[in-house]
Amino acid sequence: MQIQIESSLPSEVIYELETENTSQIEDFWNCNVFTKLLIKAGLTQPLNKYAPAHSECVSAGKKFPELSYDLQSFHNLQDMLHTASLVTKVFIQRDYSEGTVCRFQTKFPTELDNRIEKALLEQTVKTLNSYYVEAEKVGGQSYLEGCLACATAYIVFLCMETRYEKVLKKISGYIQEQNEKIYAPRGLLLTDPIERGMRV
Amino acid sequence: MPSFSGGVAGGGVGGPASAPPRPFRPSRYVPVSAATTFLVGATTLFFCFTCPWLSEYISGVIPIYIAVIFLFTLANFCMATFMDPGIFPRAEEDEDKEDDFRAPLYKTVEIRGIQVRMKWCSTCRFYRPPRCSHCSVCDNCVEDFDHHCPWVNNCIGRRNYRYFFLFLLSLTTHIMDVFGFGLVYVLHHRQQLDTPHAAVTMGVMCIAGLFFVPVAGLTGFHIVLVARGRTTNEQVTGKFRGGVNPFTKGCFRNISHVLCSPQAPRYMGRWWNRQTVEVQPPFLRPTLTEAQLEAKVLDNGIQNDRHSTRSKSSLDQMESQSADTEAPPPPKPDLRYAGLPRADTE
Repeated sequence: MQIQIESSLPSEVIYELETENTSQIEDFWNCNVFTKLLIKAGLTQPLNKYAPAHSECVSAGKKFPELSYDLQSFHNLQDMLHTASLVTKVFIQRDYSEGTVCRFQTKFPTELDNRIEKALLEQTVKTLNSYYVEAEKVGGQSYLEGCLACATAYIVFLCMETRYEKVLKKISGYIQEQNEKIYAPRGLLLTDPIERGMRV
Repeated sequence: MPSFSGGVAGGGVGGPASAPPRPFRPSRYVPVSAATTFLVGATTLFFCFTCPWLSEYISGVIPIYIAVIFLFTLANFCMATFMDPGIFPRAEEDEDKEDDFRAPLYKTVEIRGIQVRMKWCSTCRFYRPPRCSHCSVCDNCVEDFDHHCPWVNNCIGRRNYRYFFLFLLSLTTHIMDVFGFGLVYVLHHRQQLDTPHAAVTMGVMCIAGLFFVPVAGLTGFHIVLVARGRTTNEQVTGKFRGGVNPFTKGCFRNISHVLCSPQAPRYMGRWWNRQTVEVQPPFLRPTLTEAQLEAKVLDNGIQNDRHSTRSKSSLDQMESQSADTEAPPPPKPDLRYAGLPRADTE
């Protein structure tokens, strides 16, 4: 299962340049290090003594169109930092200890250490695992479904939704609800595992 | 204000990445066309030439019985041919954060106490789940890969193995029925063997007899595989020759898994109804424990270098079934910038 972590950049990023040479400082702002610093959040950067003018930011941005901010909407360095964002992805892997049944590991990824309480994520994963167990259960209902399919020469598959598909719909509703209530307020976003082929 | 959406609202056309279109190879369709022709053609001839006499002189139930078995065979044949066997979509780029050459070729996973290796698939760009294999004919990784069957021109995998197996069983039954009832007809018409009806019946019997041996052999082979809980791929490559099969659940459970398990969902060609979820700061943070607070106070604010020191090719690291931690840890703004508003935690 994929979890996207949205990190907003801090409201202040300060740069300290060790040189007093003005042309070197101008070079600094115009070179690609500047844009990389912005995108990589530049969180280890020291005090900014010479903020570039608006036009300099624009020209730096034009050189690197893959940057994810809107050139029109910022007026100064601070605004530009607000519109850029950092998205990292964490993957929760499948737990194959019981065979090929669909289960996800409840191990807590270290990247989420200070983003969400361990218990919440574990609860989500455990609930999802229980949904998958219910979907893959070999029992009376699946047997009847199979018999019905045989009897109708499998035409019933065109009309009716299988049990697994019904549970998948429930799961996607559950994930949507969890995203809205718990994960989005913490800057995280869960992706339904079926979109990745249930591998991760 | 920055906002992060989960995708396009409403019906998403986006399907998972699939293989590029392959060149049309007519030779691939020869076995499946031959199989269809023989099956449908021989049965039709049987119905036209032999069945009228059978229904009149033996019993009217016979043609109905043969028709039911034939329809069942045909339905399973179609399902085995046209159903997606469980193809995995190609992994997206963000999943594969390591360079191909630096990632280890195998990742080990423990299944019921037995170490199983997952191999890196360079075409699909993920570590193949257990029992998954890449089919070179279809150029796809298939879940619970059994084999690629030329007679149905399709891979047999998790989703359609049951139909393939039932197809073999019903085809064997059908061949035996046709041969048996044809024999009854011929024995009753020993004096009239030069009539067209008798000649056609004998022709159909020959075809049935010819196909009976390989089909019955294959059916028997698959009955053994199902009972042992193995796939053709595992049997042929001798994966569990000396050791224990971690995927078997006992004979009865294996059979019920093949015949009675729910129909698995397909991964390709799904229509995703993605809803947007707005993700906007300020973000909640978990409350820190006493120990964590202490650590924060002692921290003098110097952030560690962001160079990753993990050895990516170390196999030891891949030994345990740990989550892939390829993503660099996200920056921790709380530790450094007092200017950031501290959101209320729950």
